[in-house]
Amino acid sequence: MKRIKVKLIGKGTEDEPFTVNLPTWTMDGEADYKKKHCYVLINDDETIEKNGKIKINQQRIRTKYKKGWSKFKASDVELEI
Amino acid sequence: MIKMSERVHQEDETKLKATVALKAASEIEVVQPTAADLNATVTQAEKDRTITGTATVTPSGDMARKALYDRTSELIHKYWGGYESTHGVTVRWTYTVPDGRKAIHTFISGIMFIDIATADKVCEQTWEILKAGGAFTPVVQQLFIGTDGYFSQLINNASFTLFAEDGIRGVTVNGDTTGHVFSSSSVLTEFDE
Repeated sequence: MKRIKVKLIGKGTEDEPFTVNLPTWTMDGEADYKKKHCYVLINDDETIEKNGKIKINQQRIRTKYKKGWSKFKASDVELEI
Repeated sequence: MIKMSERVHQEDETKLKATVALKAASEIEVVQPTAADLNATVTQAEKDRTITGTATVTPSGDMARKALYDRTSELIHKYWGGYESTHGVTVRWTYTVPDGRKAIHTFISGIMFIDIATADKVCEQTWEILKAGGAFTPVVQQLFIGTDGYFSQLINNASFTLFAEDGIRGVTVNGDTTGHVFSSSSVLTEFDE
């Protein structure tokens, strides 16, 4: 598992819960509800290393999950650590 | 005047006589084995006999199906635990079945420690499932503290299969002003379709 910093979306309501727009992940520690970000753990194969930094492997997620994730954009989710 | 007990005895005796008469009338043949039958031995030729021809095996559909170990099964553990004060409805973990795969979900544990007798507002922990193309709906397991301090839980420990694009997630909410411990744990056995 790899740890990355991501955007937290939603309003914390039943209809729009705070969540992360990734197919498979686990929150690591508490979320920062004010700054709207949190750390998550994602599968190794869904990450890629660029310039010594762990990034989301956009292409892998698109092909691995297909259908609902075929237009997934990593830039909409990840934040710089 | 015949007493009832004597009458029963008389009837039984009549039935017995009838049964004996039937047996005597039937032809019963008892065949005794002969000395040749008892002394018979298997000849060497019979022992050496072989079955000729080609055995043909045509696997049916079920026999040809791959065994589970051929289906690249993988065990996935989803867990989140923490002590957190007031927070809105928050997804703690999500699992989505990849394309071309299936997954059996098994519920492992759900814990919510209540630090006070009476909650100010509702605190809740749920498991929600998403069928492909639909919306997330509860519930596999639900733990709940009501505003008047009661604690309730709804448990469904039955395992079930998720198909490609289906998802499952663990959710917590703490409407209380006091922090509580939350813990949700599930195991998924993922394998090829």
